[in-house]
Amino acid sequence: MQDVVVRYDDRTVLGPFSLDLEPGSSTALVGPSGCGKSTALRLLAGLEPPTEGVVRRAAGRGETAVVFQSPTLAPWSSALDNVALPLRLAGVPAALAAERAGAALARVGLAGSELRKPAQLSGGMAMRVSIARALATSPRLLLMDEPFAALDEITRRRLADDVMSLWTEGRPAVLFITHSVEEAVYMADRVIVMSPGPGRIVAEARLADGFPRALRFRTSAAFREAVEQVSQALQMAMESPA
Amino acid sequence: MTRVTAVAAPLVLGLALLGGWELACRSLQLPVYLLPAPSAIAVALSDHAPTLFAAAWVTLSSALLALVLAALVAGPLALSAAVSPLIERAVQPLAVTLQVTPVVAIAPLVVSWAGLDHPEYATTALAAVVAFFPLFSGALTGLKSADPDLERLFDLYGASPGQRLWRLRIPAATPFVLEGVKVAVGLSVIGAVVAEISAGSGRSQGLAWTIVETTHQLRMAETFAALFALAILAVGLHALTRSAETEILRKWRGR
Repeated sequence: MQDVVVRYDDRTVLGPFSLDLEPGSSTALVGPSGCGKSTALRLLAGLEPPTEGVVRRAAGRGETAVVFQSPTLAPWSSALDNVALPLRLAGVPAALAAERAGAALARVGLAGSELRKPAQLSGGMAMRVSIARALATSPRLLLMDEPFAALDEITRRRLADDVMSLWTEGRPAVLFITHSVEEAVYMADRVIVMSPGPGRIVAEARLADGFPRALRFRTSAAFREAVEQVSQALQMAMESPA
Repeated sequence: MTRVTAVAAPLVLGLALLGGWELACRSLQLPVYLLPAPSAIAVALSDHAPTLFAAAWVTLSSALLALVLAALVAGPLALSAAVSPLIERAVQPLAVTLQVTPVVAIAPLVVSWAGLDHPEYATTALAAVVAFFPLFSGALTGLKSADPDLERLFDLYGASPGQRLWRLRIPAATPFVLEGVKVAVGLSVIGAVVAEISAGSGRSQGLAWTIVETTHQLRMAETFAALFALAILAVGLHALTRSAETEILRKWRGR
């Protein structure tokens, strides 16, 4: 993504903004609300064209997956059918799609809940279905827009660990948006801080520690230091208007 | 509130009102052509049961036929309006005009077009006209009600227009369509009744026609009996569609 600018009705919401995502990397975007994080995500997904600049995507059609803030499941379909949907849309035969969807559900720990409908699932379970749907197509690029924002602390920590262990299996390039600095530092090897709208990159932090995170990573000095560094960058970004 | 009191409360009120009515008629010695006592109405109801049944069937069948006709027009029209903004723009003002024009006002016209020999055409046509709007607008609203993020997901995976319609829009429309059907069922009976009353005497032999005829002849007990039958018919239809709606929705969302 090179020198990208997005305007809605003459109001600039994003940019100029440049970002490269390396294959197999995990990147987090943090920034105040309204800084164009979600817009950046939609550009990367190819759901929206930029007003200026170029977005080059290595991932082809069907190789990008998005997880939204809410589970975004079809309420009339079972968990299995929801996960199978992207496969069915890509023309995979029903039986094979069901088989792969079942395997994806099992990987997020939902074996046995295949026939339940979204209304019969808890918030955390619904989010797992959503993640299973994103992983079912074995994407090269996985985009997540505040995926855990609506969940309680315990659930979001557990889900963060699960997402990361799933990520190490296929190693897609991951970009996720979050409000939580700790979550960003925990889940990403690269954290990008954005200024208030129109969003620009104001700081970037790279973390040396590898994945999966060690058991006590959250209490390690490196983790605390990185969180502090990102928090300060975020605070400065919010105090000095762009 | 327990189940028993929930059922008993309206029954007790109804019986109390009927009792007061009966008492008032007897003590004031009101003439039957002004206000018949409930007991007289009950007698009329049982005496004329076969003709009332036949009349109810006439009204019911034209209302149901009208529903089918209205759905056959409203469904495809809503589908095409949901797919094409141009069609929606073209159709919407007409649909609204049809909706806000009182059916009583167009009834005499339609009745005269149908002619004396076929008043049933007019009843069915007018019932279809009033049933059309809730069916159309329910379906159109529903077809456009899908979660925008789900729509984006369909974009992301490159869904074809057909896949989007079949796998997203039509299932998402279900609750709205059911609501539209529920409203349309009630309105179609009203439409049929209005048409029958406009047709006045003639060959139409529905419940509303019975009400008009018996009123003219001051056979008030029969008027009330027909009114009672009409109320039962409408309540029954409503209850039936409502339980069908609940059942289908339970299947739809899984609880």
